[in-house]
Amino acid sequence: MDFDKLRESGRKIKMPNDMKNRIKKNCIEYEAPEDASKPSVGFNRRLVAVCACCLFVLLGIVLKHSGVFDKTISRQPDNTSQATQMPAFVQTPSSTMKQIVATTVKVLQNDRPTSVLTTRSSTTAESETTIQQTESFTENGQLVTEEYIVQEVPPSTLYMDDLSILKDAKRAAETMSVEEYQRYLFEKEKNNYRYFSVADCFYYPEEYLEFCESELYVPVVDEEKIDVFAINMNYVPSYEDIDMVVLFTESDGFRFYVHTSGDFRFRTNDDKEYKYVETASFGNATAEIYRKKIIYQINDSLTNNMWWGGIRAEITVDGQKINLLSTVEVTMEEFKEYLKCVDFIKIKDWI
Amino acid sequence: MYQTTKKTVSEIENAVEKHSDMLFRVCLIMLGDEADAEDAVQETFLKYIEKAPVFNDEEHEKAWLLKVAGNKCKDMIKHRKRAVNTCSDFKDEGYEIEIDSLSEILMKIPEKFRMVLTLHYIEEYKVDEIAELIGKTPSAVKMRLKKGRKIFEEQYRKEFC
Repeated sequence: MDFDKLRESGRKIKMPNDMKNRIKKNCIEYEAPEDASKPSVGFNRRLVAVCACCLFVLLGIVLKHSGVFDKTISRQPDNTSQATQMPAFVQTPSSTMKQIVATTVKVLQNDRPTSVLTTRSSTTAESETTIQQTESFTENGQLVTEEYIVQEVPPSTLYMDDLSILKDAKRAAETMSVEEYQRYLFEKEKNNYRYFSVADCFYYPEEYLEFCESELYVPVVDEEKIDVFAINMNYVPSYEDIDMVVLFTESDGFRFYVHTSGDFRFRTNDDKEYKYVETASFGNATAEIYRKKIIYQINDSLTNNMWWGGIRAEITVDGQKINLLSTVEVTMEEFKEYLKCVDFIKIKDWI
Repeated sequence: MYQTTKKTVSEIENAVEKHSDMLFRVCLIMLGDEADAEDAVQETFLKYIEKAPVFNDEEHEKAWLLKVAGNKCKDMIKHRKRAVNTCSDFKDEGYEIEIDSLSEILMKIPEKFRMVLTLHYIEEYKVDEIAELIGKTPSAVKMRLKKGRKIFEEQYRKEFC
């Protein structure tokens, strides 16, 4: 296709003269407000709307974390109305929620002063479950001990779809021929745009890889074992242009593979060299990446290597360390949100 | 931040004369409706008078106008929710605007691709410049160009092959 013709075609479009004259006349007659060039001090409606939304979301998160919506506390004998209550949720550093699933209240003795509260935790044999104890005193000096059994629960069911897609795709792949399977995926994709991007990452036969390649889907799977975690960046709302899948393995620290039809910017450690891989030939660019079997090593914590506008990671290619910046348009906050699902998409549990 | 200075009548006339075709072209391709395109161009020039920015050179001025026009088009698409019209609508307004088949195809492809293809192939902007104009990264622009070309070609094949 010769796009020069498009230029010629477009350039033929001219504004009619009477329209041009009308605009000129209107513009000349138009009197700009005197203070137009000064910064506006009125409300920016869009900004106000965005702020309101943020506030609303924040409020929602706070309420959720405070346990307002939680219904799982089951209190046993409630003869201790003065006893201090524990919050329904206990926030843990890993961002998973712990939920109080049972409470036991015991009145032990009545010869202590009031207003003393102690809390202690102990972990049971099952690492997922914690028993927490609270001691407090009622007005008449009774010591009240409350026991809470705290269990870890998944942070959300937001990504449940992905698991069902994966299981579904696996079942299909086991029973179908390659052609049937391809058709099946594309049929599914019509109804669920996430289907293809989730399913094609983890399970497809060799021929299907070739098919993907021909469609400029760059295969992720090679002899390296895809191990544990997956995050599909397609789900980031602002991320609309580049298909990318980051696969984490936990065998020796965090490693991830990048599957992308986008481009990469490479920078050497001393920040001097700067190489840009042309997107126009992204098929070759990514192919090259896979030939070299780059393993992306993330140092320290993931969040330390994230910045606005992309994921930064130090990688080693043929012994040379380079910093990688993928050009994903995703904020750190958004990416953190996606990291929360890491625990939840344990591929090895399902495939 | 731009410096500002009140535009004189001759400056306004010059600007309209110099840039109106280009802006109209872009707006018409974006909006698919000549009346909307005229509105968008006029509003762009009104903004130009209102804000009265001082530009480094003509290219700077052109880029500013394009950016404003692009935003106007986006606003109009968003708020008026008008579907892209076909060529037949242009004749109803009494104008003889020449739109050939390739431009028509361009007007049918999704908005985000239409904009980058128009800026790149018709207005001959480079990827970095387009990125600056539409507030995206160069890689996103390249992706849009790539996907846009593909959609355009498919559409072209559908209509002509």
